[in-house]
Amino acid sequence: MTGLDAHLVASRGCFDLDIALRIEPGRTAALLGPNGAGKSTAVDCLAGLVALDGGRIVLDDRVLDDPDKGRFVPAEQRRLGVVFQDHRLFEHLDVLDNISFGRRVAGDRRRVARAGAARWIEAFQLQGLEHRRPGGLSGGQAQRVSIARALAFDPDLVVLDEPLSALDVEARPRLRRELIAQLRGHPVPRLVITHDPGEAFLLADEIHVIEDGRITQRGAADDIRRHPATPYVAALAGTNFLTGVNDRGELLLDGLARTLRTADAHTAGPVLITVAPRAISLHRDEPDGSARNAWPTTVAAVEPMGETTRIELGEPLPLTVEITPAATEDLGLAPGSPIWAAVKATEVNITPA
Amino acid sequence: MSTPARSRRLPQRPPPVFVLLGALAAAFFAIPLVGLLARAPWSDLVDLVSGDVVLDALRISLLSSLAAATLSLLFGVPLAWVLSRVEFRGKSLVRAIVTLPMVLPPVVGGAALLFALGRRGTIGEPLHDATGFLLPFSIWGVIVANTFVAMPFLVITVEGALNNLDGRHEAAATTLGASRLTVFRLVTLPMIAPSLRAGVLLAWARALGEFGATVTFAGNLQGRTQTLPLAVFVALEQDRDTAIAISLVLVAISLGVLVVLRDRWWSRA
Repeated sequence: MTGLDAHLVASRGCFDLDIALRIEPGRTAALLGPNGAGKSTAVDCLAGLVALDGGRIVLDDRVLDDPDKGRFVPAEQRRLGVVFQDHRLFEHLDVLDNISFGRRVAGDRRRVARAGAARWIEAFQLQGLEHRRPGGLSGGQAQRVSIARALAFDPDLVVLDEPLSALDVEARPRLRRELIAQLRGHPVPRLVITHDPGEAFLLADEIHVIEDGRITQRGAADDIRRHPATPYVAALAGTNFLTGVNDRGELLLDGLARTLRTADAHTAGPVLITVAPRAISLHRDEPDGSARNAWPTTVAAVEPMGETTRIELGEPLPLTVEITPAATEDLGLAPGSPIWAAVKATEVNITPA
Repeated sequence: MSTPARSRRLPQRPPPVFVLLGALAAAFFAIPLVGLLARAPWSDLVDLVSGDVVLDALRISLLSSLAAATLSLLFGVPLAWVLSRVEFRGKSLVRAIVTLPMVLPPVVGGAALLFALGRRGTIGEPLHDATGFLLPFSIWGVIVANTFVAMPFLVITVEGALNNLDGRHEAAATTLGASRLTVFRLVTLPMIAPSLRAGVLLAWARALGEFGATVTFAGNLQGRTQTLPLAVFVALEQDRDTAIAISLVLVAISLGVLVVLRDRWWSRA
C-alpha cells in the first residue's frame, strides 16, 4: 500500500488543470480552493470520469491513467470511494441496497450483499433506517449512508467532495466530528475537497491549496496559516485557527497556557476559534481597556507581503498579525522585539467544532 | 427531497368562459360514447361478442398489440439510449426518421412497408426467395405494422426521460464499480421507470387502435390478420349490431387499462 501519487494535467475549454498530489495511506489531504479553481475537475480526473491530457495517476502501485503510455483504467475499475457533495443516493433503492450497491455490482447476490451491509448500518448508527428510501432521510443520515456506501465497497482511495456543504450549518460540527471518527478506522488515503479553510483545518493532515488550476501552496494546516504564499491563502487560510473549549466566554485553548475572552458566551463545549490577523493590534506598552484581550509577547517573525506585513507572535499565543509596513516601522518590529498584543472579545469568533 | 409543488388553488369562482368551453370539450368526448351505448344491442351482446369473427379479431388484436409493445420495448429502449447518450453524425436525421411514423398517415406507412417487405419488396423478395417466408397477410405482418406505428411513441418518451437524467447518479454508480450495462440496469432503468411504463402503454394503445398500416400491409383476412378495428370497419357495412358490440369491447379494454394503469403508473411519474 503506497497510497496515491498523482499528477493531474487536464484542460476543459479555456481552463487547464496541472496539479500534483501525494497522499499516504491513512492520511487525509485537503484540496482547498475557491469555486472554479479546478477542484471538481480534479475529482473527475481521479475518478476516471474525465481522462487526463498529461501526467499520471498511480494508486497503490496501480497505474490508473497515463496518457503518455496510453493507459487508462475506466472509472468502474478504479476502486475509488467518492462521497459526492449532493450525496447522489439512489432514490429507488432503500438504505441497505444503497450501501450494498458496490458489493452487488461486484457480483454478490442481493441477499448476501444486503446481509454484508448490516455491519455498516451498525457502524454508522443507521439502525431502524435499513428499509427507508433516501428521500425519507435527514441530511445527516443521507451523508452517513453516502459515506457508508463509499467505504462498504472497500475502496483504495476515499474522495470526499465538499462533504459538509449540503448540510445545515447547525448540523455541521457534529457531523464533522462523526466524519473524522468514521474515517479514522480506514487505512486508505483520503482526499477532502473543500472551499472552507476551517473544514480543511479540522479534517486534513495536509492541505493543498489550489488556485486557478495550480497548487499554490501545500503543507500542514499550521504552516499554511502561518506562512501563506499568496494573497488568496493569506485572506482565506491565513486566518488564525485555534481549537479549545468555551467556558462562558473564557476560551481554554488546546495545548496553550493562555486563555482568550470571546463575546459569545453561549456556544458551549469544544469550539473552533478564528481570529482575523487584521483584528489583532500591536502596542509598545500595555493598552488601556479592560474588556479586551491583551498580553505581552515577542515577535517571532516579520514577513512583508506587499501592502501588508505579517507578524508572527511567539509565546504564549502563536498568532499571526497583519499590519501596515508603516506601522511595522513605527513600532520598530524585528524578530525578538518585545510587544503587547491586543484583540477585542468581539473579534474572537467561535463556531462549534 | 422537496415535495412536488402543488398546483395553485383556483380563485373561488372559475372564469365562466373556461367552465363553458371545458364542459363542451368534455361533452365532445362523452357524446359519441353515449351514442354507442344508446345504440348497443344489450340483449344480444353476449352472442354477438362471442361470435367467431369477434373472438378471432380479439385474439389477433391482443396478440399483435402486445407483441408490438414488447418489440418496441426491446428495440426502442436501446435506440432511445443511443439517441440520448451517443453523439454521432446524422443523429437528427435518424431521430426524424424514427419519429416519422407518428406524423405519416398510417396508410402511407403500410404502403411503404409493402414496397420494402412485400413479396416484390426490396427486402421482401430476396427474403421470400431464400426462405419462402412472407410477412404480408400474416400475423407477423400485423405485428410489423403495429410496431412500425407504435415504437416511435416509446422511443420519444424514453429518450425524453433519458435526456432529463443529468448523469450524476449514473456517474456515482460507475465509481462504485458498475459497468455501463449494469449502471443502465440498476440505476438508469429504475430512474426512468415511470416514463418507460408510460411509453409502453402509449405504444400498446397505439398498436391496439392501428388500422391504416395494418390493412395496407397485412390485409384484412378474418382469423389471420383481421384485428378489432378492422372487424369494426367491415361490420359497419354489413351488420351494425356487431360493429357496435366490437366497438364496446374496444372501449371496455381501453377504459379498463386507462383506469387501472393511469392511477397506478402515471400519477407516480
